[in-house]
Amino acid sequence: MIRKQINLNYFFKARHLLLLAFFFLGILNSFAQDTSVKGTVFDKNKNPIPGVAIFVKGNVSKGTETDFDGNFTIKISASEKILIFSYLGYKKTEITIGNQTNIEVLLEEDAESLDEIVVVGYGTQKKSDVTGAVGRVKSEELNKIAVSNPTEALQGRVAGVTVVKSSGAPGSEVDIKIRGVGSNGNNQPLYIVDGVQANSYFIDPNNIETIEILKDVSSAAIYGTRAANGVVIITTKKGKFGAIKVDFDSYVSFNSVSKSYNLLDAEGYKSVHKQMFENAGATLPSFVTSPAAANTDWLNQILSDAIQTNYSVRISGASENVTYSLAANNVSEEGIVLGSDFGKKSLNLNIGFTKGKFTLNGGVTYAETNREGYKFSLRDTYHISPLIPIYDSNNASGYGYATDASIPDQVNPLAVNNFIENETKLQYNLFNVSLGYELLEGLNAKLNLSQATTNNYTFGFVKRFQAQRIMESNAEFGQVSEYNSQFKRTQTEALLTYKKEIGKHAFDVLLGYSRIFEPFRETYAVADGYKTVDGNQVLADLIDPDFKTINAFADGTRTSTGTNSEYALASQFARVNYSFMDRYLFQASVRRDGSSKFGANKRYGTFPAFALGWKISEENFMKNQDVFNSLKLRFSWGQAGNDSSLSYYGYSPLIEVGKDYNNGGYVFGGTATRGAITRDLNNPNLRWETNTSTNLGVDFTMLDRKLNGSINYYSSLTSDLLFRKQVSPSAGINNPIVNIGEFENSGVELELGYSAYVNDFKYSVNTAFSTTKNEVTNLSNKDQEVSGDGLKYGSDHYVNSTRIGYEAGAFFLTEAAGIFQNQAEITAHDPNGTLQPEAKPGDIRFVDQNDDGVLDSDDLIYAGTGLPKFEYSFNFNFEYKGFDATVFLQGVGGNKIYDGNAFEMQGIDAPRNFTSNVLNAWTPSNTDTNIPRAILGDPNQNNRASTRFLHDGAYLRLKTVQLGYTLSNDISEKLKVDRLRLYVTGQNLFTATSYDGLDPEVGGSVLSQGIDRTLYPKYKSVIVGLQLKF
Amino acid sequence: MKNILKYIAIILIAINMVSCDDDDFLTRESKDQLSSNLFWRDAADAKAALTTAYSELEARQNFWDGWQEGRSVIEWYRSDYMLPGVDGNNYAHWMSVFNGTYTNGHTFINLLWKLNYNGLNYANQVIANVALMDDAVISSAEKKQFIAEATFLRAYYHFKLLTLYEQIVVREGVVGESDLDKALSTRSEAWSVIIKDFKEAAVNLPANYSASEIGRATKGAAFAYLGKAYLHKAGDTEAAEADDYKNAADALNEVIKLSVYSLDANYVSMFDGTNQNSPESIFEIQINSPSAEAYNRTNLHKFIADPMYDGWGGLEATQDLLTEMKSEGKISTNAGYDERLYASLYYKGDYYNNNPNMQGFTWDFLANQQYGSADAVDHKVFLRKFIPKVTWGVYNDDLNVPLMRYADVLLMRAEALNETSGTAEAITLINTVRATHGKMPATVAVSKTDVKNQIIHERTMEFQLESSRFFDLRRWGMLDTAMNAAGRSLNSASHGYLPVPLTEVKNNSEVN
Repeated sequence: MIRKQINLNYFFKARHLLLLAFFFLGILNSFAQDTSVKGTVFDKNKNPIPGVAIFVKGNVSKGTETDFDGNFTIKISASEKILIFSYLGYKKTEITIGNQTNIEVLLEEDAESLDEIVVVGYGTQKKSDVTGAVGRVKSEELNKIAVSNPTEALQGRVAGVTVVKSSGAPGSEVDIKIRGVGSNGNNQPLYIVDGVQANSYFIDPNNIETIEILKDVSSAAIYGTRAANGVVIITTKKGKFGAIKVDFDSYVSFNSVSKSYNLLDAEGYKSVHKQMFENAGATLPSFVTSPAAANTDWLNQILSDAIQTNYSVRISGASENVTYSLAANNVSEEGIVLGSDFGKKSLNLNIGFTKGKFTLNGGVTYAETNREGYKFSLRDTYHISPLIPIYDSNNASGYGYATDASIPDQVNPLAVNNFIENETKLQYNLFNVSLGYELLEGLNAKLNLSQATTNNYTFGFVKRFQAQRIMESNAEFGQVSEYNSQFKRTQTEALLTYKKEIGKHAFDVLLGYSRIFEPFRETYAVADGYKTVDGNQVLADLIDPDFKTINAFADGTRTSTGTNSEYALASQFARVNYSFMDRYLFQASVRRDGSSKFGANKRYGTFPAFALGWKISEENFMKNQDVFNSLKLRFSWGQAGNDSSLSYYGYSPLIEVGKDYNNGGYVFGGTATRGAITRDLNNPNLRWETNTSTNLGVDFTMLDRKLNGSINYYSSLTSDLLFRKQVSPSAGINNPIVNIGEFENSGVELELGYSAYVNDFKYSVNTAFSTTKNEVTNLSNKDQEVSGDGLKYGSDHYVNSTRIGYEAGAFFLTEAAGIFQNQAEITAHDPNGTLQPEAKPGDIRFVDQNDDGVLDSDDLIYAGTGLPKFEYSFNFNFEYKGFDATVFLQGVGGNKIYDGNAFEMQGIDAPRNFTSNVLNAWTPSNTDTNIPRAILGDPNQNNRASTRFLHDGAYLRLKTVQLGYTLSNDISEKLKVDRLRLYVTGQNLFTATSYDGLDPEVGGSVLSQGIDRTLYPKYKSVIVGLQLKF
Repeated sequence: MKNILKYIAIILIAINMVSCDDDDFLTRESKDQLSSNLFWRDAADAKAALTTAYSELEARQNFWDGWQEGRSVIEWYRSDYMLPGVDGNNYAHWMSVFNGTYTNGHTFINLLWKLNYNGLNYANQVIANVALMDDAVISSAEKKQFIAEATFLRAYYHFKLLTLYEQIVVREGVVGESDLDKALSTRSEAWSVIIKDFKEAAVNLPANYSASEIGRATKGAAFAYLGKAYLHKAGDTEAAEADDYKNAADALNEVIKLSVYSLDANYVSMFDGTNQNSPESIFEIQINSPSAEAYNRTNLHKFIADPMYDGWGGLEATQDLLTEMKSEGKISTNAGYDERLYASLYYKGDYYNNNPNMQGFTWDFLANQQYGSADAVDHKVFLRKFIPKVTWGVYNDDLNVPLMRYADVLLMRAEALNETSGTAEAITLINTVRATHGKMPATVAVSKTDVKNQIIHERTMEFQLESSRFFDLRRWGMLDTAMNAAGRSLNSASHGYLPVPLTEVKNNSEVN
C-alpha cells in the first residue's frame, strides 16, 4: 500500500486556526495586570483538587481553574478582594485575599451538590429523582474517540445502546439501536439537540457537553410517536460563568486498512480456472490456454492509507445576564478506498439572555458536508481478472478491459474512478429561539420555535469512456446529472410548567402543545450525451467533452424530475411529577399525536406512561449503614408509537405515470404512449405501531461514592408492527407496508463505575454490560416466514428468515457437513441418488434433517442470529501528575455472521477472481481441506446458502488506547495558556475475533441481520492531537 | 392558587383553540400524483391504465434482466438446437439454465414470474375498475373495448406463466390485503381460465385498428392464442382433453376466416427491422418508436450475435440445426436451400462466404478480422434472425419482435387438423407456408406420421428464436429424446417446467 505524506495543507490550516487563537489570547492578555495570586486547593484529606473553578467576585469574567496538582494562579487588580472557589461536590467557598499572594484553600464536601442534573424530555431532573432508565455520556468520553459523527462515539458507552458501524467510508452514518430491534421500519432513535428535534450527524462532537439517552419508553413517551426507538438528547456546550475562554482542539489521524482480501494473482487465477473447467469437462477458455501477460493486483490499486484531520475552536463565556458560545469545526477525511473522501464544516452560536421574568435563548447552527464515495463497484473489483491490465493503449479510453468475450466482463475500477465524478454536498442549518416568561413563582410559560433545513446537492458526471466490453449507456454517451433537494422541519411548541413544594409534597407539572411540519422538495436533472434519431441513440454533438453542466449537453437528451411532499404532526402532552418526603417518586405522562401519514380514521394515537421510584437510602432504617451512599429502586411502564415506516401518503396508493418502457409506457402505432397505474396495495386500515415497555431498575452509590452503578431489567413489546413485507410476487404489487405481528425485546443492563486515587495516582474503571433477547412473538399467521434479502440477484441465496419464536431476521440454513472424500461416502449419504444427485468426491455434504430423501426448505435449521446476545465494554482511565491514559475495550458475543462475499469469492463455479484460499480446493490428492472442488456450474450447489458460510460473530475490540500529557501550571503560565494537553491515540488497533472476513462489525437491516456483503473496508488509526484552552 | 388556576384555564382554552384545526393541518395530499380513489375519472384514465397493462409484455419493463437476458436465456437456451455463445460461460446463471442445474431461486425464474404477475395485476385493475365506471364518463363501446383488451392480456400473461412454470397462481381480481397469499391452481384449472378469457376477448375485440393504434390486441390475436392454448393443452399430460385438437383447429380457423392476414413473401424482412407489423403479424411487441420523447430500445441483436458480427456472443446454434435446416437440399425455386435457413442461421457456406451477405462482408473476412484467421470458427453455427440490416455501431436497435405470426396460425392449424383426420387439408397449409417463406416445393409427406414429421421440420425452419422449439418438444413428448440426442442433461421430468420461484414459496403462505 502507498503510504502518503501528510499533506502540508493540513498544517497550514492548523496554523491559521492557531494564529487566530493566539490573536484572541493577546487581546485577553492585555487586560491582565496587577497582583498575581498563587495557591493550592485541597480537600479535607489534604489531597489537591484539580479543576476547581476560581472567579473574582464582582468580576466574574475573570477566572481560572486549578491544575492537576490543585495549583492555580490568578492576576487581580487592587480593587478585587474576594475569590470564589467552586467545584462539583463541594461547597462554594469565598476567600478574602487581602494582601496575600500565596494561599491554601480547603473545600468542604457537599453531598447535596453531588446530585447531577440530568436532561430529560422537556426539562431537567436531579439524577436522584429520575425514575426511568436514562444513560449519560459526557464530553470527556465523547472526545476520546476521533469521529466526525457524535453517535459513533456512543459505541460501548451506555448499556443497552448498540452502535454498529458497518462501513469504513468517510462520513458514513452509523446504525444505532436502543434496546434491541423494536421496529422494522426505522430503528433509529429520536435526536433532540438543545430541546429541538435535529440531525445529530451535523453536530460537532467537540461541541457537545452531554448526551442523555432515554432508554425506557416511560422516559421517552413524552415524545410520543417519535419515541418508540428511544430518545437521544444532546446538550451542546454553553458559556460558563467567567471570563472569555477559547478552546482549541485538533488532531490528525493516520488511517490504514485493517484488513483486505488476499486475492489470486494471475498464476493462481489461471490454475484455479483450469481446474474449474477441467473438472466440468469443458473446453478450456483461451485466457487459460494462451493467457495475457498482465498480473494486476486490483485491490492494491484501490486501497491506500488515508489521513483525517479535525480542528475545533470554541469561544465562550457568561456574565450575569448573558451566556454565549461560538464554536467552529473543520473535519477533512480521506477514504481508504480510492476516490472517497469527506469534509465537514460547522459553526454553532448559542446565546442566552435573562431580563427580569423573561428568558431568551437562541441558537444558530450551520453545517455543511461534502462527501464523495467510490464510483466503481467493490464487488466487480473483487471479481475482475488479474489478467486484465490496468492500462491498455490499444483501447480508446487508455484503460484495460476484457476485449475477448471469453474473459468475464467486469469494469475496470481505475477507469471508472477516472471518468466518473460524483459528490454530495449537504447544507444543514438550524435556528431555534426559546422565549420563557415566569407568570408566577414556579409557573413558567415557554414558546419554542425552530426550523431545521437540510439541502442536498448531488452532482454526477460521466465522461464518455469504455472500460468494459459491454458498456452501460451512460458510459457510452456520457452523462451529467444534478440533484437538489430541501428538507425542512419547522416546529412550534408551547409549554407550561409549574413547580411547587408544599411541605413534604413536591409537584412538577408540564403541559404542552406541539406542531411539526416537514415539507420536502426535490428536483433531478440529467443530461445524456445522446440524441435519438429514428429510434436509435446517436452521439450528441457536444462542444467540449469536459464541460460538466446540463447546458453543455444541450444537444443531448435532457430529462428532469421533481416533486414536493409534506408531513405534519400535531401533538398535545402532559406530565406530572410528584414526590413525597423526597423519597417516594411518581411520574405520569400522556401524549396524543396526530400524523398526516394515516387516513383520517386512524390518524390519532395516544401514548400513556407512568413511573415509580423509591429512594431507599433516604429511609430512617438506612441512616445507620455506611455501605450505600444512595440506593434507589425504580419501576416504569409506557407506550410510544411509530409512523416512520410509512411514506408520506401511506394511507392511499398513488397512481404512477410514465411513457418509457420501464415506467408503464407502451408503444402504439409507433408512438410512445403514456401509461398510468398504481403498483401498490390499497390498505386503508394502516394504523400506529405501538411499543409498550416496562423497566425495573436500581441505582446505587457505595463505598464512600467510589463505586456507583445502575442495573436495569426491561421488557418491551412492539405490536401492530409496520412492516415492509415481501409479498408473494404473484400478487403483482410492490412490497407493501402492513401492520403485522409483534416483536418482544428484553434484557438486563448493568453499569458499574469505580474511581479512586492513591496520592497523585487517580484511576477509574467503568464497565457496561447488557443482554438483548429479541423474539418475534406473532406474525399474521403462525407459519409465516418473512424472508430477508436474497443475496444473489435478490431472488436467491436467502439466509435470513423472520419466524415466530426466533429473533427477527434469524439465520435459517441448510447444514453443511464436510466434504465427500469418495464415492462410497456419497452412496452412504444418498443411497437413492435423490438427495444430491450431482455430488462427486470433493463436493459438500448437506444434511437431510428429516430423512425424506430430498433437500428442501424443510431441511433448513435455525443457525443463530446476527443480533449479539450480549455486549460489553471496559473503560480504564488513569491519571498521574500531568499524564493521563485511557484504555477502552468493546465487544459483543452470542451472534453469528454470514459471510455473504464468500459464496462468490470462494465459489469456484464461474470465471471470476477468488480469494487465494481456493488454491487449497479439494482434489483427489489434496483432501484435507474445507474448500470443495473447483467445478464450473457448481452442479452440487456447494455454494448454496448453508452453514458453510456462517461464522461466530463474537469480537473484542481495543477501541481506544490514549496517552495524554497536560503541561504543568508553570509551563502553561509561561505560555500564557490555561491548559495545554497533547495526546496520542490508537483507535481500533486490535480486534480479537475468530471471524475470517474483513471485519466482524457488520450490520444488516432488521430482516437481514448479520450479513457481511461488499462492505466498505475498515481502517485502524493512529491519532495525534492537541487541546488548548486559554 | 386562584391565579394559577386562571392561567391554566386560559392556556387550556388557547391550546384547545389551536388544536381544533389540527385536522386541516394533518390532511395532506400528494401534489403531483392522483391517489387511486381519485383515478378512473374518464376514458383517458382507463386507456392509460390499459397501456400499462401492455407494458409488462415479455418482461420488457425490466429491460436488461427481464427482456434482454432473462427471456432469451430461459426460452432459447433450453432448446436442443441452441448453445451458449462465447459470452455464456461468463454467467453462471445463464449456464445453469443451459445445464439444468438451476434452482427455484434462479434470478430469471423469479423475474419472469414476477413481471408477468405485474402485468396480470394491471390487467385486472383495468377489468375491475373500468366495469365500475359511470356511463357518463366513458362510452359503452370504449368500455367494452378496454375490458376486452385487458381480458386478452390477462389470458396472455396467464398463458406465458402456465407454459413456463409447473403450476401457477391464478389471479383474476384486484389483489387486496386478504388475498396477498393465494394457493396454486391445478394446470386444468389454469387452462380453463386462460381459454375462457381468450374466448371472451375474441368476442369484443376488433379485427383491426387504425394506424395510430397498431399494437393492440385484435380479434385475430385472441383466436390465434386461443388455438395455441388448446394445442398446448392437448400436449399437457396433466390437462389434455379429447377435443383439444378440434378446438384448436376451430379457433385457428377463425383467424383465417377474418381474411385480414396473409403470409409475407419476404421472410427475412420481418426480422431485420424493414417490415414491422407486416401483413403476417398478428401480435407483435412494439418497440419501434422513432420519437425521442420516450425511451424504448432493445439490444437483442447484440445478445444474439457473435463478436465477429458486432455482437456480445450470447448464443450459438448446433450443427444438428444446420443439418436439419439443410436436410431437404438445394431445391428451392432459387436453386438453394430453404430460404428460411439464410434468414435464420449464419455459418460458413456459399451463401455467406461467397457473398458479402452479413453486413456487407464475407464470413472469411469477418472471422479473420475478429479471430485472426478466416477458418477460426468454421465449426460454429451462429444465428442470423433479429440481426438488423446493419448492426455496426447500432447499439440500440428498434426492432419490433413478432410474437404471433400468420405462419404459426397455419402450421398450428395444420397440426391440429393432422391430429383430427384432416391430414389432406394440413398438407395444403404446410405447402402454402413452404412456398411463400421457403420458396420450397410441395412436401412429399402423405401419411399422418409423415405429415407430423413435416410439421416438426417446418416449425424448425420457421420459428428459430421465436420461443417455439422447447415448448413444442415438450408438448410433443419429444423433449427427452431430443435432449438426449443433443447430449444435453435436461429431461422432461426435472426440466419440463420451471419450478415455482423460491420468492413465491417463501412469501406466499399458501404455497410450499
